[in-house]
Amino acid sequence: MDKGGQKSLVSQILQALLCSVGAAVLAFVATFLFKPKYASYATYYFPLSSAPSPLASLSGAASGDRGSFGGFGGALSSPAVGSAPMTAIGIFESRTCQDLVLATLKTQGFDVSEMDHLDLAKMTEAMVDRNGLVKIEVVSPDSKFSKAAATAYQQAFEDIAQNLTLNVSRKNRALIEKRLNLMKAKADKLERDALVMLAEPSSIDIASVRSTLIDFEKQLLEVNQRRSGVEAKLKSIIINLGKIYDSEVKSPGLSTDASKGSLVSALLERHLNFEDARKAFQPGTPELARAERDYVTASNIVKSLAKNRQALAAAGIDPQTVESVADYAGVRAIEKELKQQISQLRRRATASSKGTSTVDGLQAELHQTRATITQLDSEYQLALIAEARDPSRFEVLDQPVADPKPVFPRRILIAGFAGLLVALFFATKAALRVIRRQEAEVA
Amino acid sequence: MAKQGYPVNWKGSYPLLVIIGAVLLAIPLSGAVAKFGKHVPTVDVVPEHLQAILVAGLLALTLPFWSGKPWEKRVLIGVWVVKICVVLGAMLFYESQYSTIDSYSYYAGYVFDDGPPKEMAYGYGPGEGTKNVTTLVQFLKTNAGASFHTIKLLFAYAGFAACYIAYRAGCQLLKKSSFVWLLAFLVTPSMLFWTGILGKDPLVALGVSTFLYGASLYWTGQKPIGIGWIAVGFFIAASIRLWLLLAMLPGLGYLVAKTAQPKHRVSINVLFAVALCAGAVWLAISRGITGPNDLVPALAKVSQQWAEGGSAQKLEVPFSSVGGLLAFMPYGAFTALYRPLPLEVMNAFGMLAGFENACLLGFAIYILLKHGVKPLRDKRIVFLFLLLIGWSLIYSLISFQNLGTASRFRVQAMPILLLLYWMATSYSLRPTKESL
Repeated sequence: MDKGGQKSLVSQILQALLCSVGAAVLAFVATFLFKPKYASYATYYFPLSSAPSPLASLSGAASGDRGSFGGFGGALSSPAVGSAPMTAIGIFESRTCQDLVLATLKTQGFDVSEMDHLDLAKMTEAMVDRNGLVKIEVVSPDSKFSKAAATAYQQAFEDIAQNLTLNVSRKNRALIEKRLNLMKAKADKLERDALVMLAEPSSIDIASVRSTLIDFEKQLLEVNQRRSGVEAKLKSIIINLGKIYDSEVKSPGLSTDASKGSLVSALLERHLNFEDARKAFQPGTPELARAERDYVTASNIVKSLAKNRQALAAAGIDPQTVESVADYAGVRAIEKELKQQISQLRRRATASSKGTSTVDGLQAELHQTRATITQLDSEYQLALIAEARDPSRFEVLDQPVADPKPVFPRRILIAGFAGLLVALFFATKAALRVIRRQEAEVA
Repeated sequence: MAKQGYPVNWKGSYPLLVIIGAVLLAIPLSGAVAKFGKHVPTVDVVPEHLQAILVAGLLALTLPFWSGKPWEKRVLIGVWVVKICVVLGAMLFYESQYSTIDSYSYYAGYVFDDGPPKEMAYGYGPGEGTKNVTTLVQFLKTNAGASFHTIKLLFAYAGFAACYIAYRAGCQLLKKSSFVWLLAFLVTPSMLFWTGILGKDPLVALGVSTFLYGASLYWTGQKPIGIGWIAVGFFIAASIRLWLLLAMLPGLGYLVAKTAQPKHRVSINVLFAVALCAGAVWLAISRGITGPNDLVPALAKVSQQWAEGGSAQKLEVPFSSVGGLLAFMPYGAFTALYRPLPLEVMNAFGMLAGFENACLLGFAIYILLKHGVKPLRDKRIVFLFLLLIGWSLIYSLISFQNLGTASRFRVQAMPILLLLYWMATSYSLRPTKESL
């Protein structure tokens, strides 16, 4: 302090600093008396909420023309009533929306029995923020409640907006898109099924299969005739063999132990048994196979007898006939093979016939589905245009989250405010002191 | 008294009261700044507001070094505190009401309106107010790191200086000080508020006041320094609104002619008349008017250019002839000076502006009733009257369309109007050396 009683500059600055710091500290402490408040918010993006697009201007649209698009008589776009963000704010602030929010919060277990519309409105702010986004913000002492309320507002808004036909274009687009995707998936599946079916062996050329079958059946008929002829010759051979036996000309191929009478009888019996078995049993049955085996054995005997060509010639049997009779087993094998092939071909022909009808059906359905896709695709393009130009279209940009950082009180900043306000006071006071000093100097 | 060895004198309880007051103010202020600053194009407006309070304190320390008597400086400091409260406090309510005011565009660097974002023009050009203000604001923002509220406070400081400079011009012309008129210049509501915004108006008011101060110096014989101040005033005003040159030229011509030797008066008058005509033609050409036939339609278009918002008023039958234009101008000039009248605009700002305009109109009537047209014998009053007529005729076209912007635009003419009132109320039948 100087002699004149005036404070020195240092003491003035010290006093100002001490008071500023004191105020800051006091304000910082005082903030603990206030319950923290937490904010949670959602933001909505309305792309065409204001001026007409440059494209609309280029296309000669009049001022104020929002460039609304009338796809399908306007069914694809939302009716524009005023500014979409303003409508959104109106919905957020509506009593209906608040009722829905309170009901939702109640179902989520929050105690809102004491809360009325005014209380909810006080903690809520709906606005167009500085970036042009519609923002719904809830500030409350409970961060979870803030988030739940903001989410409830969001849900209520979307429900009401649907009733008020906001965002119709988006719903239309989504609907067409969903249907289009389903049809595309169906077309893909049909195409795949048709390809798989066409790739199966049973699906080869059915005409060639039928022609082969006919050929086989002809061959079988010829073989049957051959067999019948061979069997007739065999019968005559047996008779002739019987004659050989009766003339007591021993053949080297015949067993010496065998009874001559019983051999002929056995051959005849086996032949008759075989004939009976053929009539009585289906091909492939053991009975028929056994009878056939017995008969073939007989034929083999005949074949061995036939080697003695001199004796056979003496008996008046043609050697060629003997050879053909001897090949009876081969004829039988050919007949059997032909029957098997015919049977297989018939099965394949049946399967191919069925398969052909399925592939045809698949191809017809695929064609129809592709036509539907083409139509839906054009509708989808219209819906995209309608959505892009719909003034009421909106998208959710930020979903509500529970922010653990309180928005109030911001302790450091409040302390800063208090300190600087005191500093401002002392600056003013210092300025006045300077003026007094100037006045004294003038005097 | 301070105790021995104690550097701080705790005499009295005011420091404690100040601390408690600051604490009590800080808590709601932090909430109010965050709540009402929601449209300000910045991430977090609260810490930026703190910067502005700090700058406000530093600027208060400059006030003792302004020219003037000690009591005037005390008034300045007191009113500066009031201005800080308005700019950093009350103006928050105004800013929260409008999401697309020009100050946001200047600060953001792109146009804030209902349409898609548009880039702001940068650089300097005569009469390119938006471009020049944007450049200045962006310079302060990017180079000096100033926040929105800090820049607003700097503009308010310029506006505050404009009010005081206009008062100093009156003091210079009348050779006397006046507490009442100092307060009138500083705390008339429109002056207090509109010279505190981040925008063109504080700068235009500063230009006009500087011109007035230069003219007062010129009038009182300090011609060289007066010319310098006039040039500075012209530069500032014309940087924002080029047509203000046209508004000031008749008055300036009168000033120069009246203070010149009689033999030069005619040539000076001719020179200024030619300059006025040349300026008008140049302005017309720069606005796309190519012939006399385009003039009236172009002016009619200008008269409806800002007819938007709740206080807009459309002319039912826009003038389509020179006769219609001449018939419209007096009404338009009255609108520019004294409207909105009470109950014409039914909102807080409209009511306040209406009340102020009623007072200004009442005061004009009072002067007319008291002195009639006799004050016009005083050439200083004629000079001011010419300036006011020039301004009001030009702004008759601009201000008529929107009464809200009219009250803001009138801030440009308020230094002239208040000075005219001061001069007129101080008019004496006994002529002085300066009045002749």
